[in-house]
Amino acid sequence: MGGILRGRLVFLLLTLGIAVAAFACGDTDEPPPVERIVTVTVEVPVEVEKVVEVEKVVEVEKIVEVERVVEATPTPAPTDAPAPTGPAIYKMGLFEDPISRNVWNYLGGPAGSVWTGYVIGGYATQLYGYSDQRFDWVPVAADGFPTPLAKETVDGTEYWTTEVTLKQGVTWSDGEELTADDFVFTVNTVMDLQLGGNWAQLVDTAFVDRAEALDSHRLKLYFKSTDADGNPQTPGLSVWQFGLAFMPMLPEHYWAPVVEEAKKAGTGPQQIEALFAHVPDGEPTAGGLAFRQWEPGAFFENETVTSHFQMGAVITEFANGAYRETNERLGYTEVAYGEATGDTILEFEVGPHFETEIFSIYGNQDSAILALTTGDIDFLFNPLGLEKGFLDRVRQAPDLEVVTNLDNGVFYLGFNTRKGPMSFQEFRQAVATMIDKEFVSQSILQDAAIPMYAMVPEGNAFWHNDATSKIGQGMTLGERIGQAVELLKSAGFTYEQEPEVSEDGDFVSTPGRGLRMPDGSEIPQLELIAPSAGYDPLRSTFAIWIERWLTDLGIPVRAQLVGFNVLVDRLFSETVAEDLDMWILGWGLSVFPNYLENIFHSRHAPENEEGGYNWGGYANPEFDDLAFALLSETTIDGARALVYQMQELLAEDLPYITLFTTPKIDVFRPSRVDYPYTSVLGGMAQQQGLQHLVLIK
Amino acid sequence: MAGYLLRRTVQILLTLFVFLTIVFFLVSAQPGDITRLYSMDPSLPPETRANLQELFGVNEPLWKQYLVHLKNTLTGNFGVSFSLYPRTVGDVILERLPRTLVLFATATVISFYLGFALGKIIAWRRGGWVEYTSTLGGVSLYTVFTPWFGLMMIWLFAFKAGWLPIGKFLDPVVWRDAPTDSNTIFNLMLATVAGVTVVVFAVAVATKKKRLAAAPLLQAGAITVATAAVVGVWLASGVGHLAFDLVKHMILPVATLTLISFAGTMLLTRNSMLEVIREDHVMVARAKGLPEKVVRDKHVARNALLPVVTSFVFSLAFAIDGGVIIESVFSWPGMGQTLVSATVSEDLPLAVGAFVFVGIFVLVAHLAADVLYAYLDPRVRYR
Repeated sequence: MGGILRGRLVFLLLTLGIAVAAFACGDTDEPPPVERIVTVTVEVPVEVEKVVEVEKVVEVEKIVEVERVVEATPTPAPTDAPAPTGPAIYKMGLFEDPISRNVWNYLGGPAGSVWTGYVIGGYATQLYGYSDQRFDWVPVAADGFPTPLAKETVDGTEYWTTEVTLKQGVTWSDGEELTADDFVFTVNTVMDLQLGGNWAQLVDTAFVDRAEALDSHRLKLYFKSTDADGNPQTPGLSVWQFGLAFMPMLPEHYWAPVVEEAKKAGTGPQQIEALFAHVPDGEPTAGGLAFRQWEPGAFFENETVTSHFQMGAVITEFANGAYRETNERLGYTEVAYGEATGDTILEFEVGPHFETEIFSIYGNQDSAILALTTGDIDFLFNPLGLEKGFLDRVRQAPDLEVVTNLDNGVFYLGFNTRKGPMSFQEFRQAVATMIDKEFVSQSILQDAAIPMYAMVPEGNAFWHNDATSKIGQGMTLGERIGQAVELLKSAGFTYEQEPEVSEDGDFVSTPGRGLRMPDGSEIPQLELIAPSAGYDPLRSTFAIWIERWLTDLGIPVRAQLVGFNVLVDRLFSETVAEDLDMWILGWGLSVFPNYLENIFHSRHAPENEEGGYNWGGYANPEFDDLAFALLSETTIDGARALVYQMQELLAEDLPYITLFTTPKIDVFRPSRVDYPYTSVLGGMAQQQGLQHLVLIK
Repeated sequence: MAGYLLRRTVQILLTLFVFLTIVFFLVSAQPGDITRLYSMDPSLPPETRANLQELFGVNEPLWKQYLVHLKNTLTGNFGVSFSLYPRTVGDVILERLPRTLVLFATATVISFYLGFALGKIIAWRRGGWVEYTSTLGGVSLYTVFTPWFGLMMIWLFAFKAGWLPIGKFLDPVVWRDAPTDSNTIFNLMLATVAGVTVVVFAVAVATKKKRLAAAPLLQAGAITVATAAVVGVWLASGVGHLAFDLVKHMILPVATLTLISFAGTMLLTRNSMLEVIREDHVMVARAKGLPEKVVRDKHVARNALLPVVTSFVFSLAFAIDGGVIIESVFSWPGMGQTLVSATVSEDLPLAVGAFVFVGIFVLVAHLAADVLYAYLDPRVRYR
């Protein structure tokens, strides 16, 4: 026995040693890494009041030639491309299971995780949506654009109304036709059950009165013309075009019995709970993908619905801003935003172009990156970003391509503007002057962050105002100190000892001391709360440097790096108005910037609205007027003008100091998959891995 | 014996109550609540957040939550998971438990067998190169940084050599259109192992009682027949390839777990053996002229087995909480990952439910170990 075991032990150790030696020496020459760094700008032309050119093509004699024209740089030649065997499968990696397959729960309940969105985001369709890459407002299930909003009196009540026609021939995956009743059913369910979350945003009951089916394919939408106090109101872009029009439609013939059953469950939350608890079984979809299999903890699989109404349609985006969708199967061509002529910037055929898609679930980035490298998966959803070590590894991998896009998000330093010294605009400007965003982003964080100055990220180009104040940009340390001191003094702040900079200008030789507020009182010890390095090293690094610079300026501040939940708890606490000084957090943003109103209008301060997001209590009547006007604005140009003004005002008044945004990094295997485009605001993962148009080689 | 068992049962019930209380208040002491996870959306209306809080009951006072927690535990109802809403905690545990049980029970059995066998050898041949090699290698592996070692195993045998899968517990392509889910296969595998164990154990007991000369042959035959029958049934079942896929994915994590943990048993066995070797009965056995192997295996190793068996029972009990690190490194979504993710995401019902489940299992294992101890060592039950 002992001899046998001894022999096995020796064999084991020998095998281990030989294997380690063999593989340690086994690295082969690898081709140079391929990486595209793409700066994406998004122009969002939206026609809302204009009649849109919709051209019906009944007979199509010419086959449309699809040409790919959007690659920023050539895709590298495939290396060792595996021979296609079996069904075409798009293989993707996730780090967590989806929570539910129930779309009601996903958009209105706790199932609303990003992972759920990746796997069931392709189930539903909607009236209108964003076009690929450029984010134009375009018809999806709607046949052309809606009629202009018009005032109409019904039974003595005045409404804003509009009509929408649905495309003929759009079917659910079970063959049933998608009709206006499905839209009406979805709206009614949201309103009857008072669903929250995204549903509440999509169907804003402060504006939406009801939806009616005029016939099987014609809808009429009624919006309230006055608010609860009787003041006149108009359903602006955020309510209609970027709200109700984006609502996913769910099949009435499947969900109606479920909803009826849920309504019997009691009232309020019990009904919602009953609806969310439903596990779909054979639910028809209209988005091109349908559920096939889910092995929790292992993988999730969707299959292509071959009867999807957009499958095979050719979408072309032109350099002159025009948009065209040609659908031979349903026999229509839609053209919008100008004449469909000239250079094309994007052209592709709508898919899905695979039989099934499999989302494999990995417990950690290491395994997922290895799986990506070995070809187990083609694309990795990684919303938390890639650590530098992993990034280096995928850059060195022979058959992986790395794409970097701008994120549609902002990380900021917020002020409690209710109390001094944060209530002084000059104080906030002085703080902004001291913060060297470029130094931290580029020198300290090695370009892991991108400095920001406006509230709308640069990548969202149509709405981004590049002409806003850029306080502190390009200044030396001496200039920063000088300007910050001047700002403080101009507001009435006084020093016992003003800060001084060394002769070479590299450091503050004498920190400021004895800074007093205009009323003569000493500035109290201030607290800057920020996420800890374990949660987000970028924000914690900024917090530490801000503490240092403000201390140099003579402002007594201490950075407290805390857990994310601790930080958020503080912001939502009942004593936020008294306890809060400054904080660092971030927002993920939508393309249409109605978040400016959500975050900065004074009505959203916690003291005015329980759970409001204006934690700093920012109250500026001028801004409030602009924000309210945005809610009711119905034209894109008018909305843009308002958003520009709001950004200018915020960049001067600084309730937030925008610090940085982050690059979004996606990795895929070009030998297995091909995309018509990879440069897109927010990255490919935010577009759900481009499931509807990826080509499997 | 009955009085001893009664005392131990009461002690364990008291321990359970203290455990339940500590678990609840420790988990509740975390800052924040689950609804924070859904609150960082500027477009989320305040009433939605309020609804979520009401839905999850996080607005209730702590004492009330505690009483509900005790009542739920006693009735086996741990409520609904916050992070996997609307799934119940029981449902989630039932889903994750078989995966962890199969993986860690297998690894525990193998590592104990290896550890015990090596422990016997190095205790018997002290000072030889086998002892030094085994001790050095075992202790090195025992103290190695587990995540690094796990990743190195993946890198070596999965990534570079390509012999084994990179993490996860199944291959999605193999499982496409599978007639059943993985948990059914895991449960069948557990049932198979339990069945084979019972058969082999019954044969061993029967042959030993009758003192048959051909006992070793009969036992080997029983193992062979049982194994052949199992393989045959699995092949004929139409899901054998699924079981094989699971086994294939188990090899790396089981090997890793075995390598990092066998040294504990090995050293325990060695120390226990060294104590028994000095006993008079060993000297008598040698004086009788019995072969060294018989003295070692029958007169020393059996008496040295007591602490090892106790350790083994506890290890099996702790197997259900899984190794958080191993499960994470090998993307094995079992109880360990569930505990961590539930705690991090402040999914209180799931975290508490999982902790309590593990706790109860461990306490029951303690009781079983006590009974086993009393059975194996009369000094305990007559104390």
